[in-house]
Amino acid sequence: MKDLNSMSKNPINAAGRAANNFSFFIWDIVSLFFQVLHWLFIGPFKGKAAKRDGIFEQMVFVGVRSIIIVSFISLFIGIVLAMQSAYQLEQMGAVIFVTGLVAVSVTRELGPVMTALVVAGRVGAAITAQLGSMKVTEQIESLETMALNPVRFLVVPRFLALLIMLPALTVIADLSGIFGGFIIGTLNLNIDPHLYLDLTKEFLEWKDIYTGLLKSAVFGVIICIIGCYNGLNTKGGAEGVGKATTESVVTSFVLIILADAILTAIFYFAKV
Amino acid sequence: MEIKIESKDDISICRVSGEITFSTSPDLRKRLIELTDKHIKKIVIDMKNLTYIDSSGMATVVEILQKIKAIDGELKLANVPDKIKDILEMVRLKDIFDIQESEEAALASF
Amino acid sequence: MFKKAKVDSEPVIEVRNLVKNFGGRRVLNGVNLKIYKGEVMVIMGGSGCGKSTLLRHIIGILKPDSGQVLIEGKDINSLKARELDKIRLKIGMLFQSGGLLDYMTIKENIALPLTEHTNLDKNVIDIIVNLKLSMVNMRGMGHLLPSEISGGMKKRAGLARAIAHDPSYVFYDEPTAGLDPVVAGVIDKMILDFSKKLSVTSVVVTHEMQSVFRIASRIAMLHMGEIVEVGTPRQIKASKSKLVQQFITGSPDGPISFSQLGDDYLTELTKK
Repeated sequence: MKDLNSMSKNPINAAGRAANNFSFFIWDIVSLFFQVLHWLFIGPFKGKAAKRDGIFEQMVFVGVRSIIIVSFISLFIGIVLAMQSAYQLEQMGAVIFVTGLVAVSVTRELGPVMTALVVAGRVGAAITAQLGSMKVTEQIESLETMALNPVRFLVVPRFLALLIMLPALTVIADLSGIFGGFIIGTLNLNIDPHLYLDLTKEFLEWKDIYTGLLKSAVFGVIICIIGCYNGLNTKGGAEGVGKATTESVVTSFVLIILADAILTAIFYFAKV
Repeated sequence: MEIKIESKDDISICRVSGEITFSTSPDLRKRLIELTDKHIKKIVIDMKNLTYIDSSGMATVVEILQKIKAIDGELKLANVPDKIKDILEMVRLKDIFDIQESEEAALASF
Repeated sequence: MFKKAKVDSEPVIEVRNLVKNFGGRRVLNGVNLKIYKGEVMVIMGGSGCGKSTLLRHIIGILKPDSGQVLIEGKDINSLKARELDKIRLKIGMLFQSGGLLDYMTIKENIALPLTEHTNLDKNVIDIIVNLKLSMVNMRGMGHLLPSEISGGMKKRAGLARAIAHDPSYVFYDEPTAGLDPVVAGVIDKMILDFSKKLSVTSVVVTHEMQSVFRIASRIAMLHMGEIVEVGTPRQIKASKSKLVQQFITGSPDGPISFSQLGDDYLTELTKK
């Protein structure tokens, strides 16, 4: 080991090792994802489905308890967006387009992303902290000795909960974001409420909504897999749990934005 | 595990042989519950050829004892091998049951 | 009261040349050990000598760098997941801190191996759980959460769960450490009872010398990742090995060095 330590002082070797660790990380993440898929789609046919009561509890935790914060944040995003765009559009005398601008940017982009970031901070961190403390107190090992697969038992319920609840939360975020725009549009810009809603309907297309929801499903997968991966690989007691939690939130944020860019590019070039 | 149930007057004698384990105890439970459902108040479980009983077996017998007491009946264990007695004692169940030396003694004790 | 268990001639667990490194430090250095049916094998040794690591290899939670672990003649590291699960259903393990799942009550914890792996009726499972609770002297505490009970109780509840499914092999990681002498005695007696009355094979990792001589059919002394001596308690007591003698008597002077200073003590102290 002495050799390895001295090696890490050499910058080229250190870079090599970092790259190596990174590829291990990617491999682990992908393999965890496939394990989840295995337990989701192949497990049930072997009579080993995920626990249903666990899924319900997780759905409540992920979804119901996030409603208030998610709708609060997107309400204000909608308000801010309306004011900022009105400031620009007023100069061209096109204030009426605030309606479409708010609706489309909230459903396509800001609703899914803001919701995902909020949930990553709230739920992703909690998942890592829960699984991490289970890991450092021998609970994960005890599941394994009882022939209970930790992925099936702990990851799959959280995966399903996030996959279902994050898009559901996104719908709520979309609605309250549009409502935020509606408040500014009607009270400040003096657009007739009926006209505002009609224009919103006019500008908004189905594909705006479902591409947004598709994004949020992908974000849900990212939050779950990163959160669980960091939790299950926690080392070193309570301090380790804290470190893993921070790591989990930061990694999720980066990957969410990255995935957002990639998906947006795909939708843009495919003209969806 | 094999179960043979025989009725003498108002008494049912249940002869269990072999091993009662997690996989076989649900069967024993089903047969015994059939008896209590028929409101048979006197049951003897003969354990003469029983070689092993695990926790699920003991739990099943405890459940039946409780069911039968609820209808004012009696459950007796007969011919309990020493090994099984040891196991019962380990989980402090020996005193809960009315354990009789033989089937005849059990029949006479009602 | 503490009558010893009889030993069969068939080895049911065999450890062959087990080697394990952790971050460049060799923790297990070619361990060989045979464990026979129905015996209580005590593995003793100082803190950090690799006892717990050895135990984790035997139950297949850790994978060795080289060497084999055979349970009933099967190499557990080359088994398929499903076959390994089959063996694990015969195994119960008491973890140092109990290893209870913190989001379930004590009752749910003990019932877990039964609800997951058997088709028993809920009533029967409830009775089994109560039986096991009374065996570890914790009647009426099943509704509590692990966070609501003391460390010693967690250990006892962990023991109740380890034996919930009547395993043929029970592994104990420091079963009596940190317990009061009476409870320690009760647990020692239980370990012996399992092996005598139910022919359960037990492997106990401990350094409580009183327990060791009370329960052991055979003792293996582990030092610096190697088995230095295996024998019956009488053989171990009469051992000529200074190492073993020092460990039994707990003397500070001997081959297990604390007081002796190496030649490089000065360099060690001034090392940066």
